Amino acid sequence: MTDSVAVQVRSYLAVFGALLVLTIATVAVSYIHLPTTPAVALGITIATAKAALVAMFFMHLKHERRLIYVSLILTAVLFVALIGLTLWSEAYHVPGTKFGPW
Amino acid sequence: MEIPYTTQIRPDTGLTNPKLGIWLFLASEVMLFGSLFSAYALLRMGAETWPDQSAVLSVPLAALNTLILIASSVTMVMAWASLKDGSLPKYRRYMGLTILGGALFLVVKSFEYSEKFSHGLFPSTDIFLALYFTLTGLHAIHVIAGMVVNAYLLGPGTRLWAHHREQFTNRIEVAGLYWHFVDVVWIFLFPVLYLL
Amino acid sequence: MLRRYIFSTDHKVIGLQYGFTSLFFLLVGFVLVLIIRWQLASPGEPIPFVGGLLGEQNAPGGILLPEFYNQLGAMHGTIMVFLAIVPLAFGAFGNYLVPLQIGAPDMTFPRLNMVSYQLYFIGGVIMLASFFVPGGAANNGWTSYPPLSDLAPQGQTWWLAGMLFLIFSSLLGAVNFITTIIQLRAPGLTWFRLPFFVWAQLITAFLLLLAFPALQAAAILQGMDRIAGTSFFLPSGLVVSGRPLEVSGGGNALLWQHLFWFLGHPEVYVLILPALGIIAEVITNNTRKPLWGYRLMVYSLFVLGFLSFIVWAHHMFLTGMGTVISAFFQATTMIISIPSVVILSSLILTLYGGSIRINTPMLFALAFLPMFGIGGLTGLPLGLATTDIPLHDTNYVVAHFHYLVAPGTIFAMFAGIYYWFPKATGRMMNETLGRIHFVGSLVCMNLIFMPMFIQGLAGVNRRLWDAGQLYTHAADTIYLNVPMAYAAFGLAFFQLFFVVNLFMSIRGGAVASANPWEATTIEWATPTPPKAHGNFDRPPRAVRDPYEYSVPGEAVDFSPQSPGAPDDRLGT
Repeated sequence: MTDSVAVQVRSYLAVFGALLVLTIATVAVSYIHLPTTPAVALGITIATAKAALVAMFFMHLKHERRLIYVSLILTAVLFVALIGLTLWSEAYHVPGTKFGPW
Repeated sequence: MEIPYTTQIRPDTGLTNPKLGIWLFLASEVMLFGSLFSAYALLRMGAETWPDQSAVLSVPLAALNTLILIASSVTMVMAWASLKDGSLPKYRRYMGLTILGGALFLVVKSFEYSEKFSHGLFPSTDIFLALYFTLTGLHAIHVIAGMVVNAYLLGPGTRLWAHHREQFTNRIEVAGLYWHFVDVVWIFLFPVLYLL
Repeated sequence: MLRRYIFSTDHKVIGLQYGFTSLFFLLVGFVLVLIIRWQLASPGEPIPFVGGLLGEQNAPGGILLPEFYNQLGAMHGTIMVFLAIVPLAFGAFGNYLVPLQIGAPDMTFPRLNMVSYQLYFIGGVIMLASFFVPGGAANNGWTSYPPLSDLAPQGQTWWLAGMLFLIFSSLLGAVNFITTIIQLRAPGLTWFRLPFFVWAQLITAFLLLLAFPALQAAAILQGMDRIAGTSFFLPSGLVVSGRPLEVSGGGNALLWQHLFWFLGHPEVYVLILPALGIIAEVITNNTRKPLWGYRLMVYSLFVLGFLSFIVWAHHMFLTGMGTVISAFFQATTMIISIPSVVILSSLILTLYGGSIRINTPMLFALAFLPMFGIGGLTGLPLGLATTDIPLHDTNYVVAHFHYLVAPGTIFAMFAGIYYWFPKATGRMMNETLGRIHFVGSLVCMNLIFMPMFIQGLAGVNRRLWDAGQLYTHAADTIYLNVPMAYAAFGLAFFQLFFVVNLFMSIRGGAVASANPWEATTIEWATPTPPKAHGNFDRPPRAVRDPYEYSVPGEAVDFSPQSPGAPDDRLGT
């Protein structure tokens, strides 16, 4: 960490402010009752932005080492594979073999 | 026998052992909650109908909980910053607030749960409630675990500060990483379970 | 005494704890399958000798009930995979050797290491205890597919609880291994100077770290189904024994399969990778040559590790998935055979032009190669979706994976035990007994598993308590169960040579020097046994690659990676 503690503290408070704003935004957007796909996309995007702020600043990821980044990117790829391939597998079924109305 | 790089940074990796260890553990936690989010996605997409989540659950309470947890994340990192600044009393105050934040979160959560139960809404009622209780329940268990660790670090664990300041500060950073992660999980749970 | 042996934080003690506990579970799993083999050879007959001990609710009059047979099958698989092989390959060999091979004083988190073992132990106790609860142990295969497992008796919940402990143990172990290998390598030990064994353990740890949580999640969901009445895996409209099930429905039984196999496939690479690591060490040492294609083998490990996460639905080809997604999983499955073949070929090529020494570890290592080859090749028709259709859930599958774990991984475990025994104890195991153990095991294993392919190709299903008696298509091959049973008991007989040898040699074996195999890797640079809490007399330093055997111009045919060791005759 190259920044002084005081500088970091200012950034924490700024991030806190941003997180408050984003939380209000995500609740506000939900009252608009968008159709499912854009609602999910927007909701996940805002959540990702909030998570990124927490990770980058509170968890000091912004200044973290490459090894940590590599492990996290690998994890992210595998998570996407898990959810993506599972949904893809269940979305297209041979007729008569599905559970519920896919 | 001293294990190298417990407190000192190993030059070529730039990391201490606990820092690397906790990030690896968090990676596995990402896969754990990720698996549960996958279950949610699969079950919802395969469902004939899905309840209006914001009508079943209380968005205001959850929004409040979101703010509580975010605030406790701020106090957690401030606790660490206080130690970097060399102030144990400031650390105690911020760590105390962090634990308080966790406790408040759980109070709101248990209020939410008992509200559901009193209206005859249980995990066995439908698939959405099953997911809601399981996901938030597992998250709550993680909150409790974090509070236990933080309580130890506020209590008997503080003894380490007397002779090993840097090691103690690093411990708070590591505990903080876990606590922020618990916050991040909630940041995703909130929209997914309450708003969408 | 308690602190030194039961609550030790020394990785060597913990490694030995894992070793003895896992060998015990290997024996338990073996006994379970011996009962199965007898049953399949003479279905409906009382089991001799032990029939009476099994209890009236399991085997009235000594004749196995189908429900109990299913318990034997499910627990044989569960115990072998999660309580025997993984703790032995990863927990025992990994814990004991990784810090030594990288020149470290211990693991990065010794107390966490101790907790990992304790969690494993508790998980094992829970699994064994489940046999004695009403309804008996889990009896839904080691794969625990719902809806059946959701509705099974109490023992299944014990299985879930046991798995949660075992998984947590492995996760903590994985964190420890990865951190240790990254952070505690001795000076001079750069990444491409690591012994292949260490690379194998590193990749294995990543597989455990990132794949096991999916099964944790699945176990939690199934636990909720069984205890809280949820329907995560119970579809709407399910009828059980003629009556509609009184649950909310809306679940998906395939969700379990996806989550289970997301772990399940990397799990089988967890079973084989440490074995490949051991074989590599034994072969390079006993050919007095460096490993052929070391870098290529390491890159193959990366590719294998990554791909292992995206092949899982080849276990689900018959669940009605669409053709495109099936083609995707088929493609990744075919591609993953490439790094496996690269590793196997490199091991074989290492033999070429080597000064091959024959000793017990080397015999097991040499036999491993064709056995792994058979296991791997027979996987190809399973990985291709179309040919999987007649083979899925038959004995062909059972034979395929047993060739990989039995004369595959277990042979590698034996090789490792015979090889590193002198480092842990200062004594050699008896060579004659070792060779008898080897020949007997090799012959018997082939006699058990080769006929199983024939049965599978004839269409005989796996997990049939009466071996397929009621099916006409099984009639031609059912007789094979008789010689297979003889071979199984023969295999049991030959393990006696190993057990006797093991215990006898601890006190009575020929005294060994610190480096009796004249090996180069750093674990041999410790005193024997390695120093408690610290391992090395002097901090090691790696000055060369790990397998500098027969270096031209040197006086002796091996150049230790960390010189100045007890048996270093180069004196550099």
